[in-house]
Amino acid sequence: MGVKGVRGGQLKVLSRDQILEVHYATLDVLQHTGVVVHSKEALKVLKEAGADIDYKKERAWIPPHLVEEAIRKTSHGFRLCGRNPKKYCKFEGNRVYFGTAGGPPNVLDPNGNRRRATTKDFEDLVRLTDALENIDIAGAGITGMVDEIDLPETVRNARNFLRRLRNTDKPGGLGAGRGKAQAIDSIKLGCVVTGDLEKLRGNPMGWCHVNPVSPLMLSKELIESAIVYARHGLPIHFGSEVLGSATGPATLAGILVQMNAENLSGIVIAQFAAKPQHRPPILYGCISGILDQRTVVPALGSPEAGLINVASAQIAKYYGMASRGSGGYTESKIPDAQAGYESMMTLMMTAMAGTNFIYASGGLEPGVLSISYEKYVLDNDMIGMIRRIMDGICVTDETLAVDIIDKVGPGGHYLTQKHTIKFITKEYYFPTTFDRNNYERWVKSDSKDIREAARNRARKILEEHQPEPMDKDIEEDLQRMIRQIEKREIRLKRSSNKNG
Amino acid sequence: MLAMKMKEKEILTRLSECIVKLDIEGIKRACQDALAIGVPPVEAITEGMAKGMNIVGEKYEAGEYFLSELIMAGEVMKEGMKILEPHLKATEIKKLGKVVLATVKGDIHDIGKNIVATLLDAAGFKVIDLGVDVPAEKFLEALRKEKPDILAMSALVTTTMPQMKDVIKQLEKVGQRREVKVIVGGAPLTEGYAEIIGADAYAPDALTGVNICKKWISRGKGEKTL
Repeated sequence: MGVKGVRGGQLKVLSRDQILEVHYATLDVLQHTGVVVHSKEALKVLKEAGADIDYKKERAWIPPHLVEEAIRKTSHGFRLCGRNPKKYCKFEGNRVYFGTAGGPPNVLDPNGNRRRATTKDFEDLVRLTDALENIDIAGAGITGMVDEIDLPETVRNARNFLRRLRNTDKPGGLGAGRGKAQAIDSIKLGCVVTGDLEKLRGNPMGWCHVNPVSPLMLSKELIESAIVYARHGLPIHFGSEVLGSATGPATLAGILVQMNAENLSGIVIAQFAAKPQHRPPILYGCISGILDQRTVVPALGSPEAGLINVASAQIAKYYGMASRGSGGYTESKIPDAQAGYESMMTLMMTAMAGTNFIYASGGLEPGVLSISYEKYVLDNDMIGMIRRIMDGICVTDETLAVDIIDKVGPGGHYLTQKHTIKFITKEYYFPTTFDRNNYERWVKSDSKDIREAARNRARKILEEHQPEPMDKDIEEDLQRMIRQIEKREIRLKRSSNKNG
Repeated sequence: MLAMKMKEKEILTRLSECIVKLDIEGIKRACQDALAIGVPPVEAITEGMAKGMNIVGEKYEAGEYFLSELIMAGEVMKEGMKILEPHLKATEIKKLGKVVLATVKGDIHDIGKNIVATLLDAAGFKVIDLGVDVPAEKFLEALRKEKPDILAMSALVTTTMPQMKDVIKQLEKVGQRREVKVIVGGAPLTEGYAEIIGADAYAPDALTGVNICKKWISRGKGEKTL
């Protein structure tokens, strides 16, 4: 039994014909404008597949039949597993799973102070998501922790992988990092947990994350990491980050075309680099939005970003691929009313589109430059409500309740019917933090401010919650491997100092 | 003797657990078993079922139990009382206190009032429920006839709230206001309004109302013994 994925797909913003128009326009761009790929290895893959290549300009023009072949080679989806292989998410069809934001260098801590994130924040935030009942995928991949900022990225990534595993058995956590060496490290780390490569392939714990550089470029480090993952048959996420009116056209349809071209160019490389017996599953991602030209920041908590995310999920489904979207975004600096409105709008739209993996709950600020303990807890309630909405209305003889209505009759009440108790727990969602008290009780309560209530819950979880302990042997093996990576990095640094 | 005590303790725990688990069939069996092994019925009520009700009340306040479960626990207790009551001595039947309650004139909403009635009943009060759409005259009549300790009024519609004021005014007119404590409740009411119309207390929810009534009665009894 995996994690229950609520079903989306209720919301559509493009018709089938409009999806086709975006698709054809994308093929046009890939064939006639082409993309820049800063990797000889990737260009070679494209050349061998039949694309038109200019090695000097690092540019590739990809004909439509290659793009459509790569789409056909891509499977319908895949599983994402945690260290507990029974806890997995099935990224396919209209199943929707919710994850939290990661990456930011700052936190809004439980005392309300915005400061640089530390490794302790990383551990605490993962443990918090482990306890939050509506979060499927434990995020908090702070990468720039202030106490480890001087360490090589590959060491930080390896340490974070173990840190995450210690604090949660929920899915997610493995990332390929940048460049071949890190990608290989991550595969080895994953194999330690699952047992071997075959098992990791069947129960992937993460993916290689590729952000194309808009407009229409792929960086050497990321696409070469992707090729490593492709050749091992492991999942790759292409998440284009077009900013409408700046790194992409201003129009939403134009943003979709460019985003699609960027993602598909990577998918072509991945599928033609792969061995036929082990094709990499693909996560078709959207991190696109618009640039707010008044403040010059990316606006991902905007209605336009909401629309782009819904369309992106529709396009992924049209291609028969797993999808990733960005929801729960806000440009607000604190968990205030603006944060509530923007987060709910973008998350609910993305969820109702049937996006398989939705990223970024719990974050704040343009570009998600901080994550907030309070917002993790508040967003958990928001996700609970969205899940409830997506579960919809169940219509059966039992839920139509004709017998019960007859039994109670005019003037009676339903409070003490068994039917009532059975369906309260089945059909009603009760938020854990949002306050539904009447005015008098609210006046008397200790936490009148919802932020305070959220802080209290976060503190309580952090005081009490202990994740399922991880296997000691696996933990020791991982520690050993991390030490090897650290030693290797020290040697590399010494030799580069000598040579330099 | 010790074995007897153990058995008695066991049955009291069972009585409490049946209330917490809302187990109607279980409470019937537990009450019969209690009588069979000679547990004094008063003890079965106060040390068994009432303790269960307290746990349910706490769980409800903590948000762990739903309103439905709170009331259902009251009904389970009522079932137990049906079995134990015939075995109580006449001197033991003395209720905690007597409450006359009703929804005021012009208002036919009775769920809130019924919840309060069930919970008062489960707490050991003698409850006289006058029903809904009850005019002031009827309240006065019940007061003369029943001589209750407490008068409880409910209103859900804002337009019927002034009826409460009317009842209290009439009580003052006939010089009976000091004979009873008056408690009011219902969604549109507020503490401030209760004060303005001269009620003794306002209950924002059923459980708070029952607790206020309990306090009044125990305090009242305390004063009498002084």
